[in-house]
Amino acid sequence: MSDPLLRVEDLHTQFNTTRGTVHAVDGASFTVDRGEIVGILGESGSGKSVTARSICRLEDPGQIVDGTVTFDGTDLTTADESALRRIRGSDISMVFQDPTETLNPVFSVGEQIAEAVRIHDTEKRQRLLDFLGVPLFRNRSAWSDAHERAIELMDQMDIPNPESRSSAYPHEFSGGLRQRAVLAIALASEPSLLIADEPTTALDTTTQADILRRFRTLRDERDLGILLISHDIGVIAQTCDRVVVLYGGQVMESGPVETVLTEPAHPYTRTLLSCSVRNSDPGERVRSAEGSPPDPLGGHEACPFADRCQHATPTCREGRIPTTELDDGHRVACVEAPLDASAESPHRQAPPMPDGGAERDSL
Amino acid sequence: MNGWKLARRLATMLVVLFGVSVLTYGLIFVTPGDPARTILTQQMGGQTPSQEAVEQFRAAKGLDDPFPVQYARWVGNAVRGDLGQSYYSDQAVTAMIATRLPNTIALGVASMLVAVAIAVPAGIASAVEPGSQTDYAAQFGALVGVSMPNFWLGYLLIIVCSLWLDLFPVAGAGGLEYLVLPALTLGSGMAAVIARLVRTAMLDVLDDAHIRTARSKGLRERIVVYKHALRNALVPVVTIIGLQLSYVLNGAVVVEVVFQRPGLGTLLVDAIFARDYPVVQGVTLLIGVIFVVTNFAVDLTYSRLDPRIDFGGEPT
Repeated sequence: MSDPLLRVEDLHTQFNTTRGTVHAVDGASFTVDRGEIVGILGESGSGKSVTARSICRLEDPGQIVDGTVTFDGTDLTTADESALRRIRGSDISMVFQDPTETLNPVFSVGEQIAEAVRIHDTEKRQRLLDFLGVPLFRNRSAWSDAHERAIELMDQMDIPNPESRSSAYPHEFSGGLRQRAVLAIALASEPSLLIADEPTTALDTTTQADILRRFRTLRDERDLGILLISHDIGVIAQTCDRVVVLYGGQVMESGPVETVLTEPAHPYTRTLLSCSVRNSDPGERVRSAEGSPPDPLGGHEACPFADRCQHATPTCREGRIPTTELDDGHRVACVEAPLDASAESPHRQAPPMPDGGAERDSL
Repeated sequence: MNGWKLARRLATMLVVLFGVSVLTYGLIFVTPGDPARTILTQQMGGQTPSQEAVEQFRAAKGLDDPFPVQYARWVGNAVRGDLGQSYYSDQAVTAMIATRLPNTIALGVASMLVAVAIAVPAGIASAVEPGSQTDYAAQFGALVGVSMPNFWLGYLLIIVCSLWLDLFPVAGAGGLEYLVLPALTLGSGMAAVIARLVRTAMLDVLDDAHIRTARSKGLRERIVVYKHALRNALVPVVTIIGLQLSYVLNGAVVVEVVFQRPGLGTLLVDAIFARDYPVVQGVTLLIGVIFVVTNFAVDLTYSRLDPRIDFGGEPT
């Protein structure tokens, strides 16, 4: 079996704060292959974004303390800054959450796309004065080529009137257009992996659907590997081939989207699904999960979900939970897994709470 | 930029200039000392002038007219480019200013260059590694720069660089060598203020999400800092540089006296001591005008620096 495009193994990223060490990513492992969209699903604070940034080594001020990130045969955790820079924006591109914030407000959209093109074709040396646009030092023809390519990319992203729009500034674009411009920047270098961190969270529903459709097209047409990070089960369900459920910096469950979302084997995945509006009957109150996400301070020597779990047993609190493979790529980190099929997802009936916690409807 | 706003700004400028001219002209009348007596005493070699001589002087210079009349005459002439004549030399004030102004402009420009050349790199170095030794060193330097009085630094530089090391002339005006020490003296104080602002503004911008985007594109850190971050940090920095221009003109008074440079500052100080009203008024008015015009120019640069700023407004 050939190596996957991206393999993250036992990744640990920590932040040293005045309160202590925060274990933001606590031993996560997963892979992304060419031509597939892998979703990372989790609540706020589950370590999704830090995982994404750690892959590109943009985890600062956090530190990767253990584990490996292998991209196309290169271990990124040990690569030096110049090697990383050649990979960043060239083989791995990133799209971040809010396109209002992620585009530089003082440069035109065309310039920002052209810059991404230009970085790609001058891999050896990026000269400061060339990029600052100091007339004598700027390679005029290379930049005008880059601007032409930028217009082409804007056109591919269906940004209307790309010629005139390229000299417009980000604040003159709508949210959806901005995110398309961000995508154009990301695709300027023809990457093989795209990491999208909550790319649609700041967008309205129709714009969201448009961006997600573009991801699927990119996967099919360019054989692009995409890592899509989201807290929204709906987004993951419509877009991804495989999903990794993250909680407390650890992988709870992973596998093909249909399997994980229709036959969840982990109690946490079930809780997430039961809280989704889509799984509630009309008129029924939408559930919310009892308790709050675990304090990542100090890490977990046990299952991070144990305190909120209805199925928790003493074993859950006694050490790392081994991952078991249920069937073809469906893995779950739970001592109780696979859960009894009769143990319904909690919103259908409320099973007794072992830790005395009461389930509660959200208001 | 839109024409309406521009017109409104220009109108505001006129109001401010009117205020400046009233204050300039009016304050002189509040200051103690009678120019007629002071000047005549000096012209007569220390003898007390006769009452007729004083009255004659007053009548000749129009000092007997009520304030509004005097003011209107002065403004009327000023608009036509005539700021009156010195009580002493009968030389036109505009001509006196014209000979001194180039020296002060040279000092202002040179000290501003010194300030920016020190402050921007120092502020950036601080912001890139907050809490580092570089940062502490730069901040300590800024504290010293802010607290050190100009005249003291000026004399210190004269003693060390001119008297001991014999590198630069002690005083006077002329070639570039005369400009070095005054510009350093005046520039270092401004550098301190600007450096602290550059640091704060850069720290703010470096946290923005678009900086992460720039890094994730694979840009070199230097380009991220000097292109993407600095350009965003420039609006407050340009504002403070514009405001520092008033500091240049104030500071020039002290620095020009210390270094014996014939400039607007020395002209003003001499005129104040001699109660040479037309000169004091002319120079003060000019300083006021320069200040107002500079602020206007700074406002104009905002919309060039940050496309979100419509002329004279806040970012949308």
